Amino acid sequence: MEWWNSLPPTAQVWLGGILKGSLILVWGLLNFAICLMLERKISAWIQNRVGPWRVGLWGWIQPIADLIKLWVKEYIHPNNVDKWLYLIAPFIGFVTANLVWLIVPFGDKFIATDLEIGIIFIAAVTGYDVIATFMAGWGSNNKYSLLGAMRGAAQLISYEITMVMSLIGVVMMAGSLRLSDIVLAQQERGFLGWFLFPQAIGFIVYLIASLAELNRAPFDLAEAEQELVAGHHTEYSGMRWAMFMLAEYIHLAAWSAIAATLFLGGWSGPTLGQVAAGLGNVLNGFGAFVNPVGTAVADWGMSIMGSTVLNWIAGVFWLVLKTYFFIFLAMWIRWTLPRVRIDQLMDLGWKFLLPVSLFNIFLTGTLRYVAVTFDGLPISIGSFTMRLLGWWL
Amino acid sequence: MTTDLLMSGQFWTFIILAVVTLVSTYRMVTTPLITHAALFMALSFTAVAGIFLLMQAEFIAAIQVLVYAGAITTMIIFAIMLSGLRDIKQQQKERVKLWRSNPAVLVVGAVFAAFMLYLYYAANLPAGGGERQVITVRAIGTDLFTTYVIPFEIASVLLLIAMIGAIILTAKEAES
Amino acid sequence: MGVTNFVGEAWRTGKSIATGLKITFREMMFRPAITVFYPDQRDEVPPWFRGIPVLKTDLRTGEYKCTSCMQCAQACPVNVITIEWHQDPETRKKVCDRFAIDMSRCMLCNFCVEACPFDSLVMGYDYELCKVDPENLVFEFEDLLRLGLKYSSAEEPGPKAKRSETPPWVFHGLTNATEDDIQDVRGYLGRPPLPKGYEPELKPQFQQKQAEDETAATVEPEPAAKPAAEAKPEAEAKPAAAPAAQAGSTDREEAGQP
Repeated sequence: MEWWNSLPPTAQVWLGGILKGSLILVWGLLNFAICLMLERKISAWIQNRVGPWRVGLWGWIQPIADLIKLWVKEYIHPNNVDKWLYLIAPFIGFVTANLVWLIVPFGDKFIATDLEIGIIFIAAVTGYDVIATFMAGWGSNNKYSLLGAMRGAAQLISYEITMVMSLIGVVMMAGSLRLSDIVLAQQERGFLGWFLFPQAIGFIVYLIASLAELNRAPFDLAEAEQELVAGHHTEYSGMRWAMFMLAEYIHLAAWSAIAATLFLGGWSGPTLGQVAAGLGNVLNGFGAFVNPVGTAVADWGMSIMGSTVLNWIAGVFWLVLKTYFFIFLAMWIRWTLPRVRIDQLMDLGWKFLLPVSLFNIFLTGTLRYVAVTFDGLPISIGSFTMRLLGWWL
Repeated sequence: MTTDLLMSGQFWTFIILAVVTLVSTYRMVTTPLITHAALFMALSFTAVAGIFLLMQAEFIAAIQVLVYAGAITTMIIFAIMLSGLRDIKQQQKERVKLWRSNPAVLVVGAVFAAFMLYLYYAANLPAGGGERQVITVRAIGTDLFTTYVIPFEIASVLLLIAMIGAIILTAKEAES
Repeated sequence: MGVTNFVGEAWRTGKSIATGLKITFREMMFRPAITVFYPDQRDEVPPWFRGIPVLKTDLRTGEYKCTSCMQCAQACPVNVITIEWHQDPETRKKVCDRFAIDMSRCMLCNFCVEACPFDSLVMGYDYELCKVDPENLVFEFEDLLRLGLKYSSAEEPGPKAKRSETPPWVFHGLTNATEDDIQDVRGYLGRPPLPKGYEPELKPQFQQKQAEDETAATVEPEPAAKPAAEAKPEAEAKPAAAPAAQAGSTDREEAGQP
């Protein structure tokens, strides 16, 4: 730490940035490997298969074999492509997907950059996804690519509006765009404080809209195999194709982490110290003969409750747990529902989800206003009701 | 002072971003293919957002990216795609004729440059210099809904009118 | 669209999605995988499986049943069967010199088996027909006979078995089809099993043929009105006929029938 403090501030900033960036990359790749494997396994289980089985125990190191294969695969460069767009596009998508991880809080002050504009940052970064898709589609010089890219772009911009609108309810309740503030605002009543309950409408709208944003089934129109060979990455092969896959799964994990942060309380959850203390108290209740053990466990719990590292580990554990709940949900939905048509997609986005999310904003604002206004009137029957409502908000 | 400036990362970051902005803007004007022009425009917007970030105006940077690099570029891409390739090729032919209107370009450019120079010299530079004030989203929101509520509402009404107008225009086109 | 409709549609959509998710969850959690670990285990192929066509041997005499009549080569839509033969000057019989099937082009259509008048060809169950070099996919006479050994039998085909009773998916005694298997007389595959003694109502285009069959049956020494009743003695005869088989003349009789 002394060595770190002795560095000039500029070097600290740059080194810290490089370090954080590398960590985020590694974290993204790790998530990619796990997500890829989960996708294949879950699809197999749903279809009464066993999935990859040969590489490693139960095939669990299949993604590494896949990546090695893609790495050494022949790289095919079609003749009449728009060279620069074709070459750059996969990497823009990949970087965009990783950028979202920058603002996900893993614990108390355990976050790469605690941007004040967290949610706007998410929406802004998503804009580059459109550009990457379009670059790939246009650069490939292929009609399927271009059609897929245009579909993807149309879908992304229509659902981006809905998604941001569905998040505004959360922002109104937390009073901040900063993700760490949103997490802290959910910690008041433990489990019940999660925004999942008061923001149920926003939560459902966010789930649907983020599935559409991610181009996942049932909204995977941009790469609908039966219609457009593979959408915008038809002409890609080898590692550049893998970049699209990487981007897709890292994006999925990042969106799930954002959903967990906004609606399921993020990293908040019982730490090891709290669990031990609670367990000790429970043990103490069983009678005198377990008292020494109970007291010891409780004391140990109390002693490690303040440890930053342990709390961070607990935060990461809870965040990962909640994130993978959402990832599982997305995969479950993908292997259950058939693909929607393009007109159904647009109808759902513009005629259903957008009005519903606007109604959610209106409802949240009204209830919050009512709760704040009537909270000051002590002698009133309505006040009690409003207080109940306010308790929920 | 000078060596400090040359040593600082901020300065070089700014130089890089500025060069990217200028080059991409230039390429946007001169590139023959209109889709490339749109993408160069997105690049220049991104670089400008980087300059905003350098000034620690995160909100402005994010809005720059969200609105310009995201929404506007996508809109332009859609406009290109919906206008059809024939129109694009037609425009490419007419690009040659544009050289005849060189004097007009020079005049407009000169006027614009004069305006920018005037702004530059009229401004009280270097601004601030003391404590750097970080503008929060909350402050912007409060200002928008108290001090500047009437301009804000006028702007939104204007946008609404524009939207309705666009719908009416396209509806008439679709009828005929 | 009123608000009620709006909410109701959303509710129905959510309900149907929840139903679908419930089903997939059940499949995921509570149903075992049906995967066959292929190179380690091999699944049983169904009786109607069409693998490589192979040549049968008559296990009583040890001679191949093929008579080089060229019917299969004629019937083959893709011309993959090559037959070369010469005539034995003593017995005046055709002797097969070469019988080759190019499996790189064979489409396993079963036409050669249907065309064979001597029950010499049969669609085998072998499906692992991959070779590194496509030239190796030309299966010669010896290969086909060797592969066909396990489908060959020494048993006598029943007394005056009627070809018309046997649906085309029962391969000429290969599957040892019993009466239960031949319920779908001139019908379609995939029909649920019929109750015992059920007599199907034939479609008009088959009624004429049925009448012909019945007249043919009455001419024969065994008086039998229905084909279903006639199949019984045949099924009983099958296991018994193997050792005490009378040699000769079966093939020709079978070939003589339409």
